[in-house]
Amino acid sequence: MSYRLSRAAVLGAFCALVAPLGAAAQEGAVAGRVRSAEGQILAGAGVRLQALADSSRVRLAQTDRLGFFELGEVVPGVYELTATKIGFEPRRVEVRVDDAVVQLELVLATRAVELGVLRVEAARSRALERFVESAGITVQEIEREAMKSIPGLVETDPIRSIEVLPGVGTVSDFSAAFNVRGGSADQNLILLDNVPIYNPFHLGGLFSVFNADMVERAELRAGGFPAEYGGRVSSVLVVETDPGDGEPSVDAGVSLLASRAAVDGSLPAGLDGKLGLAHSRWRVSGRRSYFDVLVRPWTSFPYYLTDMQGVFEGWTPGGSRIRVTGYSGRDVLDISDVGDNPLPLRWSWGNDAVGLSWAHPMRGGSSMDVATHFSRFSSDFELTEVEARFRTRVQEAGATANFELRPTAQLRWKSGVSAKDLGYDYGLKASGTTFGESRGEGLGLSAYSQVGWDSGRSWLIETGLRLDHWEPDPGESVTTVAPRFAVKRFFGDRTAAVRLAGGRYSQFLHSLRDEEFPLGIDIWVLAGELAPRIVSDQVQMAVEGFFGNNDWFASLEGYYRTYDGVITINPADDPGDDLDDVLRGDGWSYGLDLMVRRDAGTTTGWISASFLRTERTFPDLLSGVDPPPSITYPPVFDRRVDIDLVLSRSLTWWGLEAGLRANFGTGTPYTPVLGQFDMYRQRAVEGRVYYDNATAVALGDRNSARYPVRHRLDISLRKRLERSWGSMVPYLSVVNLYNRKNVLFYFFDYGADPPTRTGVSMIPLLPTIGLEVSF
Amino acid sequence: MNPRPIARRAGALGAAALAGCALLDVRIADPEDVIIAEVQVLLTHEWNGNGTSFEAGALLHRTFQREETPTLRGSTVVISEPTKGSVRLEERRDVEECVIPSPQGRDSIPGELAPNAVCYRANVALSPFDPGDRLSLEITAPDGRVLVGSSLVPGAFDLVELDEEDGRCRLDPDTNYRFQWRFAENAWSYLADARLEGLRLPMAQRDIDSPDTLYLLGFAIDAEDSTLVFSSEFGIFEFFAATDEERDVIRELRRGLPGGVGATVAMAAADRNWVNWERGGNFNPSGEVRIPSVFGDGTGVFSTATRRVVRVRATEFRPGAPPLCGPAVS
Repeated sequence: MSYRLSRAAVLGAFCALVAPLGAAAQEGAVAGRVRSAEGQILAGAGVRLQALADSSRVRLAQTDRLGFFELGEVVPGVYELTATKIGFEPRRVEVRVDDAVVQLELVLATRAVELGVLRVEAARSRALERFVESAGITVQEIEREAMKSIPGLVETDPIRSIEVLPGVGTVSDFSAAFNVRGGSADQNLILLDNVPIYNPFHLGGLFSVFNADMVERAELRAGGFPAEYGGRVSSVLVVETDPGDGEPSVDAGVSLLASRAAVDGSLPAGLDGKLGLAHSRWRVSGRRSYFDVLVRPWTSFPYYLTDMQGVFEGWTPGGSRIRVTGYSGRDVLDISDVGDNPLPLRWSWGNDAVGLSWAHPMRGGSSMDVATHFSRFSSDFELTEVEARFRTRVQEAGATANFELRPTAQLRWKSGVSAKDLGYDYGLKASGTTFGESRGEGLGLSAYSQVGWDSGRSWLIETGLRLDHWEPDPGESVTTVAPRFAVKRFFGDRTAAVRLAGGRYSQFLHSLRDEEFPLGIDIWVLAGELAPRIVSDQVQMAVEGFFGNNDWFASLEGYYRTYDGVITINPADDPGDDLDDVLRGDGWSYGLDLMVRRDAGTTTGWISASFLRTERTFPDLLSGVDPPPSITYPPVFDRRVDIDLVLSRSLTWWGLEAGLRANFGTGTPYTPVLGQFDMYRQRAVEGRVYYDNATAVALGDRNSARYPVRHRLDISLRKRLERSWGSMVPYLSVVNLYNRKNVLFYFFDYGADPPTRTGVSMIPLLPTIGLEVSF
Repeated sequence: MNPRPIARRAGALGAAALAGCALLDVRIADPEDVIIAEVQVLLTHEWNGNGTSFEAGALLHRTFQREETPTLRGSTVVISEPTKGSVRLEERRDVEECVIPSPQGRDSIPGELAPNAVCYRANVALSPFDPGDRLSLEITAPDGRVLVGSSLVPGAFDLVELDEEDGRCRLDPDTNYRFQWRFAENAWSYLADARLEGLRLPMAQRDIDSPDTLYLLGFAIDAEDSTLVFSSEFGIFEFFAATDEERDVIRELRRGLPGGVGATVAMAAADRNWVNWERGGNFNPSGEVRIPSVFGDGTGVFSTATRRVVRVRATEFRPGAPPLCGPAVS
């Protein structure tokens, strides 16, 4: 099937997509905006409209991300409208409704509450709001406090914390890279405040670059994306920065990995005014590993990491929000000058990113937002002794504009456009010879339009169309027409539902990283002459609902996905042909994800269980046959069963907060070694071979064996100590409490008598301690 | 060509170090008996219009076996081209006719692991085949197992701006020479394989305890890269596996070829099979994954290359000495 359209057709379709819809309210309605006394928009506030003449006539709504709400089809009469939000005093006003739309501006005063309760309630209200308002998308959210309660490796890691969500798997303990529902790791879009971050990992993938003190929440969108989403086919992980509350404060911490500090505050009121702002807040942080500094008096340690992150958020008197986010991080490994090191090398890699967004609310719940961003990742690896250098780089600059309109209480229409310019290059040179080199650029233009219709009681239907146009250089332009649909049928009091969603998704970049290798960095390439785009068709169906006073949530979701145009590195490429560096293939996945979650009570947490099957088909280069036949196999991230239990509980004993994470799952695939043989190399000057003092392997069918069942139990204990100047939280985290030897990989030794198989395990029992300070 | 991230080697070390927890030995089933065939064909373009010579070697061995396995002696190894006939390689008593016993003066053939390796050879002064031919390989083991393969011989190529006399030239001591060549059809890469002799004495004068003979490889893989500087750009692959002394020698050679040292340099245009077998495939912790070009009842490589051989000596000018190879480069 051809996916190509002419540019004229693309533009024509784009115009059709963004053409406004006409609609008019037929009955009385109440709409408005809720904000704090300081001018901050209050998203997720509850709005209750109760008829004074008949207290059983009640309508409910929640404010959207810009603080707007709308209650349509209101019978004329006199009502009491109450706006509530955790942390604020309720606001009550009397409203007289006739056949027109009543517009209100509600200002809530701040009320002191316990912070933990506020966050739990805020998360729960967001989950409820999403459940009611979105038809198809699968979203799981983890708040910062929940992240910190999940036992982790050395320190809280926002990306590692999502490993415990349904449908999310990892190949090993060593890599924070994750796979969602049978997709490869490069099919996950990772956004920091809507700025894409490429290869967001320190230490070759062991930790993510995100400092948990700067993160408000992480939200994983695992499937059923409406038309507004594009760019990756498997998932979107949104990491949202916490801009603080505007009050000056400091959060600092030290772990076995690094020390860190985050400072937040607001601009002086006079400066806010000069900038045209009603209110502002900012937060900046810095983090650095310290081991090299600690041991410097005695010896040199060759590695360190640094990162800095900042966010500024300003609100105009009209309610518009301006947000600036910045990130810069670097890892440096330098053993070029360490003693008698036979392999002197220097390796530096890291990210830089900046984003600017403007969100403007309009009357009736409509809104417009515009954003621009720049992001880049680069790595430079150098073997200094032999003048060998491997470098890789990817960068993206983009802009988006979205417009959302609510013509009636039932209809929601959203459209948008985006443009992004990407570039990549990589190259390996040594001793004057270029062993591999590639570079390319691409311009991506996207437009979408989606309509949501809410019947008011039982049905929520979303449909949309997205066009993704890609102009690579070198390469031919392609356009993906991506229809999306979602249907949700509610039951009961809109607390249970069945939903069905599907659509087509496309992706125009890939990573050449060998996922079979435990650690490593991404080598990005763009679709074009070298690599195809990925087109993925997906369908998913779920049964889900809240119960137990909305304290509990359960969902069961099945899905099927195809992947056309996936790639892998071509180890048998022609050195003289720049266009055969990758092998092209396809694949599919299907599975079932179950989640039961408890959001309130002394013990909170969830259990998730995922069943997955996925396969990939590529040319079989180990067949010896030219041209190679195809081989179909499960990729290394095909973990058939993956069960996670996450619990958090306040203990009466010493006021400790306890966290637990248990993981149980089937082993991942590997290629069995059937035999080994002596490694000879050809010597052209002699016309003979020589023994290279090494062994080569004869392999069985690709990934036809599996490592044993993998399981692990992690625990954490945190103790909050309140002091006059602030608070301290010392913590203990123990990874792999019972020291399970999960297999990282096997070594086969057929030269031994008898032949043996040994191995290396993943992370053994590893206790770590740390301290967090806030004032 | 794809990137060969050397980084993954460092990553493997890092992962192993971080894992820090070895799993116990487990006895496993005996390995499968797989025949490995390493067949190499060289067409050498001789100097002074002496035509093209044909040289072929086939080393047949097998995966490590605990039990006595049937010998591979008595196999037939035939290389053929449909219109030009075939050459049957002769079985040799001595495996060293296929294997260099100690390439760097310290390694040896691991006879205890491959006791049944058998060598087959053919040396023909005037080659029955030509550059550009597609050759077929068929190996039949005594037990009836059959292995087959195919290779497209790279085209002939010329060294340019080389001043030689019967394939010999000289360098001024401690200078380098830039080999340049014209492209060969179907060549996947150019190997410059050098055997350096007479190193011990000049290196001893520099307080380096060097072996007398050293093999070093130079590699030109880019289509736009048709030059290689001898001796400074040789030895990148050997450097990492070298002893401290050998490493010192390689460092010295970056300044140029020391006086008194002789070198045989084979410039070879290698086919895809040669390149694939040498560079290996995906990561596997149990050993190198080799990309084969022989299939059927076994695996292995059937590689071909066209070759020019130059003998270089670092010496001051004297009457009767071969000409200077060319201008010295730093």
